[in-house]
Amino acid sequence: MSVAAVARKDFRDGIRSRLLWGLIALFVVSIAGFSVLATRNVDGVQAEGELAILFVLGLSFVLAIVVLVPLTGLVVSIKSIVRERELGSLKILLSLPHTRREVIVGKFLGRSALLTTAILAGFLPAGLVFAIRVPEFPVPEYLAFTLVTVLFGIVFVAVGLGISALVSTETRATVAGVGAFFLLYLWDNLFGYVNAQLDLLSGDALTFVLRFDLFTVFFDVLLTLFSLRYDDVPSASAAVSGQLAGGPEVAEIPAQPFYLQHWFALVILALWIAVPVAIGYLRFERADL
Amino acid sequence: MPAITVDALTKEYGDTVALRELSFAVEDGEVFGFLGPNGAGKSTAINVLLDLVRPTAGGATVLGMDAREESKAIRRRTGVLPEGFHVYDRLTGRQHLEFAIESKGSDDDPGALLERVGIPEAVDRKAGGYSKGMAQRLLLAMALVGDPDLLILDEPSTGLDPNGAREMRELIREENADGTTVFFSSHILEQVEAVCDRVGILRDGEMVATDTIEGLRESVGSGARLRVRVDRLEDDALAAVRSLDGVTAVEATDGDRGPVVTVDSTGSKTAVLSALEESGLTVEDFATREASLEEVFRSYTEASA
Repeated sequence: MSVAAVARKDFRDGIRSRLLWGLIALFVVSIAGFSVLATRNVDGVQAEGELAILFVLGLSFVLAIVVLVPLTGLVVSIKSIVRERELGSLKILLSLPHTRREVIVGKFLGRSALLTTAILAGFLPAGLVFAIRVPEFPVPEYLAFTLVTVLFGIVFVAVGLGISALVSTETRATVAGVGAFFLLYLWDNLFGYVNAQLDLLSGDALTFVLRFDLFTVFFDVLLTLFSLRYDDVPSASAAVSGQLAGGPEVAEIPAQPFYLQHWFALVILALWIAVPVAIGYLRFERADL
Repeated sequence: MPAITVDALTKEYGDTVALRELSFAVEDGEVFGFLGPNGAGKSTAINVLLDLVRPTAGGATVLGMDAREESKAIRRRTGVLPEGFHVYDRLTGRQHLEFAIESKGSDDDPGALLERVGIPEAVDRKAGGYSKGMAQRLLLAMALVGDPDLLILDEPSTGLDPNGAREMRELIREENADGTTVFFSSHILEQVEAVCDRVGILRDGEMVATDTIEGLRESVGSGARLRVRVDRLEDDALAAVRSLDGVTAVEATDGDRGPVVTVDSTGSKTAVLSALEESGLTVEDFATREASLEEVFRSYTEASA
């Protein structure tokens, strides 16, 4: 009851944010707008379905996945707690019978719902356009792609919420949010650099750490979903193959350790969501508010 | 069973001591005024009761439950008007109340609640556009959700005009008549004087007095000042008054409309008037003034303990 009440309140409040509306507009323009452009001249072209999905994976990916989804995830969450704390509305929230854990979980759900709304505002109209204009458009794959995009964004909601629960001022939250944004992008490079300098890990262990790169997680989760439908999806992580679309040689890689198989990305995804929220919660639980 | 017990509560922020072994109890069914100048530690103590702040030492119980361990259960039965709150600017009054109603699992009507606090017309307006006084009333309405057993009101009159403050006092009385224990803090005394069964005065994190208003007055020994207009002045009469029990000062002055005898006394006023008349003076008129609670308050919070 508490979690739902907090989540609903948070969603109602957040959905009226002008900033969120700006981001939703960007989703509509970049994803739905792109779908209209991409399907304008497909009449008569064969194998349009694959062509279109390639376009989605290409251009929309660049626009939406790389920038807009992480940005929106952080924007909807980074101030979710610290702002209420600084302004004083948190006193309203915690004067009512909610535990701090329920506040964190409720906010996580509410903010995740905001992010999902923003993503769907772009992806659903785009899907409709593709489905109507492109013969044999692979609807299940598109839905899987949308779902993974949402999950990917929720990781950023979790990171932003964790930061928001951890810090005591909005300014610090903003600085930490910008830092997190770049850190999550540069995970691969930073870790690769540090590892090369210090010679810490190699082989499977190194690959395992590199799997935590969020874009790798994104593809591996997508591969996992695709493997439910297709038998020829390579079983190994994109981090193993070193390339996004696995060629035949990847598919033939003999049994990898379980933690390098693509399904293990679900575990990594869960960790990416649970750990930042848990860290923020542990700090928030002890704080004087 | 007391509604609130605070036991040797200490709260330190670094080197600053906000509360020093604070102990007091609020009885079930009473209206308790928690008085003290700004910065005395009133809000810190209230925040401990609500588990917003964790004590350095000591503890508190609310409605018989541990403030730290059973906070949620406490808040389910308690209505709170916090201090220094901020409303959700983008949500309407109704949405605020719906949130409180859902949170407490009650079935109150948002419109009726806002009617009670005097702002029914604001129900569908966004709270961001409310005045400070309206926001205060909205929060009070939220505190009333679910017919709580205990109301904790931190500086409830903040932002209210005199009329609003009076309505607030009436509401406190109504709720109390209904059986609700009311614990409220204030640095303004008139508000406390009018509604409280008992008050506690906090200074520098310590309770320097807990008593009824009358008891407080007596304990500082501040009696009344009596001004008597007489037809003429006579030394014998003044001496007779001076010799009365409880008289601390007698002064004779010439007022605009005749001579005036001013008497400070903690004893009987009638005795003063009788003494003057028995000495042969005619009492034309007289006025008394009680020591104001303000003076009582100041004697506690400014003088050295």
